[in-house]
Amino acid sequence: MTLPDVAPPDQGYRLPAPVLAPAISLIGVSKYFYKRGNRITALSDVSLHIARGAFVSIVGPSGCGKSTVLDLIVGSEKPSIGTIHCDTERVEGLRVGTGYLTQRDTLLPWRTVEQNVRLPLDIQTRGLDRLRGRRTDPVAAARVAWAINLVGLTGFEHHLPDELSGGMRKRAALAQTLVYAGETVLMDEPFGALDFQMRLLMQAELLQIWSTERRTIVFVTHDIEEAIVLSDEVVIMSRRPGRVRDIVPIDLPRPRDPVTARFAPRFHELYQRIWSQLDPPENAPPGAPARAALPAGATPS
Amino acid sequence: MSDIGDVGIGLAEGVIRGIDEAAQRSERRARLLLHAGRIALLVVSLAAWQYFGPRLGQIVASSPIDVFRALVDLARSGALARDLATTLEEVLLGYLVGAGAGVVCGAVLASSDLLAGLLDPFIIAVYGIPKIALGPLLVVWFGINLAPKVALAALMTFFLVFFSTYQGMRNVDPDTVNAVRLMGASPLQLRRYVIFPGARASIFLGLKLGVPEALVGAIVGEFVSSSRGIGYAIQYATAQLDTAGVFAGLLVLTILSLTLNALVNRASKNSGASR
Repeated sequence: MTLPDVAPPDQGYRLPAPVLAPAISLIGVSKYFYKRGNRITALSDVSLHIARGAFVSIVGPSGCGKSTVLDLIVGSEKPSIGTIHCDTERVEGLRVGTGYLTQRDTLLPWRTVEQNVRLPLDIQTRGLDRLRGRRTDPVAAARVAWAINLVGLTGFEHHLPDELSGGMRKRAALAQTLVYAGETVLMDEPFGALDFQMRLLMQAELLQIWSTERRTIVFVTHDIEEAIVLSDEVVIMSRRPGRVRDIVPIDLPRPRDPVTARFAPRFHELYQRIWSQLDPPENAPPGAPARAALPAGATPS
Repeated sequence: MSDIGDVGIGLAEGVIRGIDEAAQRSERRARLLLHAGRIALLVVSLAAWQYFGPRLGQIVASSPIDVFRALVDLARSGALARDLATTLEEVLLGYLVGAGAGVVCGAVLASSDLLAGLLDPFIIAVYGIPKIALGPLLVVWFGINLAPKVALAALMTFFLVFFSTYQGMRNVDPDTVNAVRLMGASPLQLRRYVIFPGARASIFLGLKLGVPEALVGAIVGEFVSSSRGIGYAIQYATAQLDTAGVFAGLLVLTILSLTLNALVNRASKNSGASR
């Protein structure tokens, strides 16, 4: 699982031995944004290899370019330097079919849950198939029902998004993603807006779905605990300009329960290792310690 | 009106029903009172007008009864039907042309950054002109018959509908647009599934606000030059110092405006329900 072994920039790049072609590769990627003529380096020389079927989280202080990594993988942004491959193809433009779940869900408010989940299939049905009546297409109907069932929304098919709670909307968005997404699903703090209990619930559900589906998931979060309990690997990014500081393999046994996994002594060791490398956010008050202090209780006893 | 939770408290079903009914009764009474108040306000205003109007001078204020008589006279002579038909024709034609062009132009501009950037300052400049100031020019261009009134009504409607369509389509959440693009939507599908439905509320607001604008355009067009129409009737009555006739014309305009508004409201509701 731990393919990447990124050499310091001055030594050039060593690609890991191709045991299995990684699902996603970023090689020497830098990304600049320009604001009123000033160059802002969002990512600096990031190399990252994500194995097929792996669950990889990216953590880092806000503004470190975590989300930019996802935008680059999906192809909605172009790297200023470097190359990105996804499923052995070079990413050169929007990669249709990549699942992308964001913190703000993008359900269409005038469509019911069922219609929202079905939307990708409606879109993919073109020309003659459409005339033949997609509403009665049994394959599409089964797929929609499967996804809705998978996220536990059976019985809420005909509700509008506004009539659902935050957690249920998130589930509906997840079902929609499962319907259209191919191998790769990107998630940008998908549970950030949920309350703590609901977040735990959604984490458990996501793990459950992932373990049966085995798609490659790249999960951006600022929540270290969430990253540890979910992932095979946690990528730690430094603050701007974003670099990969460390990649921590998570060797907690699977299948995991996201609640009880937090009680394992190993969890605390991993937590400490990640925490100790995490930069404080950019707008930290002056005089704050260079490295964020370890919270009480995070040290293994 | 039943709630399992209340049963646990141990209240008798009848007691709860009594509370429910009392709540409904007080709500009904509040509504009734509001309606009664409105009617009372209308009656008092009319009575005051009837009482003070003639004392202020027949030419200044007229009176409700005189206005009613003027209206009946207009209806009997056939002038009302003719004027109403004329104005209605101008308003409807102008509104349809203006609203149609507004939606089309708004949609085209919202879909093209290049075009939007290019035309932006010019649109703002034209928007800044009070459209009714173009009335005399439109008479020169289109003559004195139906055309200049339709043109002015269309112009007034166009800008409102154009801006509401443009803004509505531009304000559709970009994250949603991106998400649907990732599902493989073509530009046409994006419009069909996301952008038009997302902009519908804004477009219908423009269409609604456009109705009185079209009316203003038609009436001002008639003021500039005309030989029939409600605007003409008002102007003619003013020239005759027939204040009751002026008010009769205004009354007809009010009813016309309310009717058109109700029609557009119904249309927007229907389209919202059928999605």
